[in-house]
Amino acid sequence: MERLSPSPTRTQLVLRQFRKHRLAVWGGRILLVLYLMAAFAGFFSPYDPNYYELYPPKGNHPPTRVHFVDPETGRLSWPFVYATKRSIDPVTLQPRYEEDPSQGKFYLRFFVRTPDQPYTVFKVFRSDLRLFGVDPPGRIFLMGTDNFGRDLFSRIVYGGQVSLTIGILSALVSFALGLLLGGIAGYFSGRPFALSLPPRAWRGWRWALGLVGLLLWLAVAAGVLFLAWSFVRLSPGKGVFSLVVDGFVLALGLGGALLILWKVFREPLRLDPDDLIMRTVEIIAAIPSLFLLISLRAVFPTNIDPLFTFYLVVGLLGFIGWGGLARVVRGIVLSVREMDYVQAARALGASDGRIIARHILPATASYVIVSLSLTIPGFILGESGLSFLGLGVTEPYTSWGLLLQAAQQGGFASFTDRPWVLWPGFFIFLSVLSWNFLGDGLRDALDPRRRQ
Amino acid sequence: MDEKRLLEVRDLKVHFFTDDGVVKAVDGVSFHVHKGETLAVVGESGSGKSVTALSIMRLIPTPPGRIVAGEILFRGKDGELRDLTKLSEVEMRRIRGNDIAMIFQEPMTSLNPVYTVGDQIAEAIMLHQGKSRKEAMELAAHMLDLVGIPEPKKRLANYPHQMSGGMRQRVMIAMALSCNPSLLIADEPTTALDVTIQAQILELMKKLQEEIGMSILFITHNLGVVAEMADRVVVMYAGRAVEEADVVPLFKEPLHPYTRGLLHSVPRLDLAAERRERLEAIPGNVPNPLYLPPGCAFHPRCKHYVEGLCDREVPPLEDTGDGRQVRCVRWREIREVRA
Repeated sequence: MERLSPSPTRTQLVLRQFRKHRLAVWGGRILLVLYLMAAFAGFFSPYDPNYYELYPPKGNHPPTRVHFVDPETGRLSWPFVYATKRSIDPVTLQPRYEEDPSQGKFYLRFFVRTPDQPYTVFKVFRSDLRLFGVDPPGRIFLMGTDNFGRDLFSRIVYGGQVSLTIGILSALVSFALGLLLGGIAGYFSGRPFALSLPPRAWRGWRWALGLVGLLLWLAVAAGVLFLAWSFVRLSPGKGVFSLVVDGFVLALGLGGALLILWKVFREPLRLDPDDLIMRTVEIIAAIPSLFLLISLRAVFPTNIDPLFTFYLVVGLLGFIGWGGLARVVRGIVLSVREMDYVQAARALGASDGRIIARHILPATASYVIVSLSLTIPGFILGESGLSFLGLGVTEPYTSWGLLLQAAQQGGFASFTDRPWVLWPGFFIFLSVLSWNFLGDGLRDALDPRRRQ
Repeated sequence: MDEKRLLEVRDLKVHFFTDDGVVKAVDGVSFHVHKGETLAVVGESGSGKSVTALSIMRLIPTPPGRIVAGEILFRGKDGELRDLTKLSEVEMRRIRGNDIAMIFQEPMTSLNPVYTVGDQIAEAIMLHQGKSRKEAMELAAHMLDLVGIPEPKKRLANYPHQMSGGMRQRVMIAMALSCNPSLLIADEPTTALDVTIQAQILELMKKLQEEIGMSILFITHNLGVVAEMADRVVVMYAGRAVEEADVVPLFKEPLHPYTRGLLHSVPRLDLAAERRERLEAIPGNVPNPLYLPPGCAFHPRCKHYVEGLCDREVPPLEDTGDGRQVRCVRWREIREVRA
C-alpha cells in the first residue's frame, strides 16, 4: 500500500495565505508589541502613571530631549538627558522648561530599579524593575507630561491596558450574545414555541404553568386597556375631532385586549423565536447607539467605583453591538441547518444543543474570526469616544480616550502650546489601523476563493 | 407483536400542513421487518418512502410535518417493545444511532467538513456508549477497518474532503454501525455513487449484515439494487403501499400494475438484444400530492384501468393467500392474464 501523501492542513494553508498580506502581518506585529506593553505596563513605563513631584513641579513638561552627542567633545556619546529648570513665561503665564547642564548629565540606563515606585504584573507579581530610566533628579519624559506633571508615556502605556482590552472584552460580550441569539434564532426558526396554554390543555404540571401564563396575559390585556384609558383621560380637547380620536383609541385598546384574551383562551399563543430575536435586533438597531449609551450610562451614578465603570462600559458596548452579528449568524445557521450532516448528526442521536454547538456554529467560525478582528477597533473607538465625553473610564484609571479628553482642556492653545498631548490619539489610530489590517488579512486568508 | 419481528409499522399516516393544503405524504402504510432480514421499500420520487424512513427515526420536520396516526412498534436492544410515535424527544435520542441508525443518499454532504472522520465516528460512540475519547477512537479505527478502508489508523485523521465518494459512504456506514444498531435504515445509499462503487458498497452492506446480524430497511428506486439486496419488498405509490411480497415472487410475477410497469421499465440487456424493442415507460407523472386522483391513485396511468371501478374507492390491501399483499381490485385478472 502506498503511503498517503501529506497534504497541507487547513491551518497551514491559512497561515501561508496570511503571510502574503504584508500589511496584515505588520498589523499583527504592532498589535503584539502594543499588547505586550499593556500587559507588562509597569516594566515598559519609566514611572508610575500617577507619580508626580510637588517640588519642583513638572506640569506640562515638553518631551525630554535625549542627547546622543556630547556638546563638550562633539563626539557620539551614550544617550543622556539634562535636568530642566522651570520658569514662568511672563506673557502667557505658562511654565517653560530649559535644560540645565549645570546639574550634570543623566545617562540613560536600562533595567533600572525604582524602589519608590513599585508595580505589580497582573496584580500578582510585585516588582520595581523598569526597562529604562535615568537617575533622579534627572527625569525622562518621552512624550512630555500632563498638567499635573505625570509622565504621559507611562500613562499611555497604562491607558493601553484599558483601551486595548476593552475592545476585546466588549467584542467578546457582544459576540457571545450574537452567536447565542443568532444561533437560536436560526436553528429554531419555523419552530414556534407556545407563550400561553389554553385552559383545555392544562394537564399535569402544565396546570401551574398555564395559570401563571394566563395571569400574565390578563395583565398584558389590562395594561393595553389602561393605556387606552389614560390617553382618553388625559386628552385635552372636547371638540368633535378629539372625541372621534378618543373613541378610536378606546376601541383600539378594547379590541386589542379582547383579541389577546380570545387568543389566549382559544389556542396556544405561538411565537417564532426567529421573529422574536430578529425584531429585537431591529429595535436595538433603530435606536441611535450613542444616545442609548449615554442614557444607559446616565442611569448609573457617576460616583461609583471606577473599575466597575470599566466593566459597565464593556457591558454597554457589548449589549449594543450584538445585533449585526446575530443577524449574519442567523443567516448562516439557516443555511447550514439544512445540510445533510446536520440531519445525519440528528439521526445519530445528537441533541439540539450539541448540534448547534458542534455542527452548526463552527461553520460560522471564519466569519466570526474576521468579524471579531474588524469589530474590536470599533469598540476601541467607542470606548475612546465615551471616555472623551466623560462617560467612560474615570480617574485614577486611565485610557487613551480619557487622556485625549485631558488634552483638550485648555482649549485650542492646548494643542498649539503642548502638541505632545495628542500622543494618545496616535496610539488609538495605530491600534485601530493595525486591527483593521489584521482583520483584512484574516479575511483574505480564511476565504478560499481569494486563495492562490 | 410477533417475537421474530423487530419493527412493525401499523397504519402510519404522515401529513404535511403547508400553506397550499395538507400533503398526505404517507397515508396508511403498514409493514414489518423481521430480525436479520432486508426489507426494500421501492417507489418513485414523492411516493413517501423517505418520509416513512424519517418517521421511523422521528426526524420529520415539525412543523409542517406531523405523524397524525399509526404506530411504529420497535423492539429495542434491551428487548423492550416501544411505540416510537409516543416516545419523548429524550427517549428517542437514545434510540437514534444506538438502536436504529441511518445512512443517507449523499455521502459528499453527509459528513461535517470541519471535523476529521475519526472525530465524527467517535462522536457517535461517545454519545451512546459512554466511552472515553481514546477508546472511542480505537473503536472508530476498528470500524474503518471493518468497512474496508485501508490504513484505518491514518485515515482517522483525514477530513472528509480528502476522501472519495465511495470512501465517504464507507465512513457513513462505519458511523452508522459503530453502536451495533439492530436496524439500519439506508435511504438510497448508492444513488449518488457510480456503478462499480455501488456494487462494492452493496457487497459491503451484505457482508456486515451477516457479521452483525442487523436488519436493513433499504429505501431505493433502483430495482436492480432491490434484486441484489432485499429479502422482501414493499412497493409504494403516492403515500400508500401497493404491493408487498418476497423478492423472488415479486420479480417473477408482479401483481400490481404499477410494479409491473416499474419492472418493465428496467433496461435488460438479455431481452433488448433479441427483441430490439423500445424501453417501456409508465405513461404520465406521479400525481400532485395535494390533489390525488380519487380511488386508486395510480388509475390515470394504469393500463388495466376500468372506469367506474378503479376511480371510486381506494382499493383495500388484499391478501393473495400466498403471503403477498396487493392493493388492486383487478389483481386476480392480472395474474390470469399473465399465466
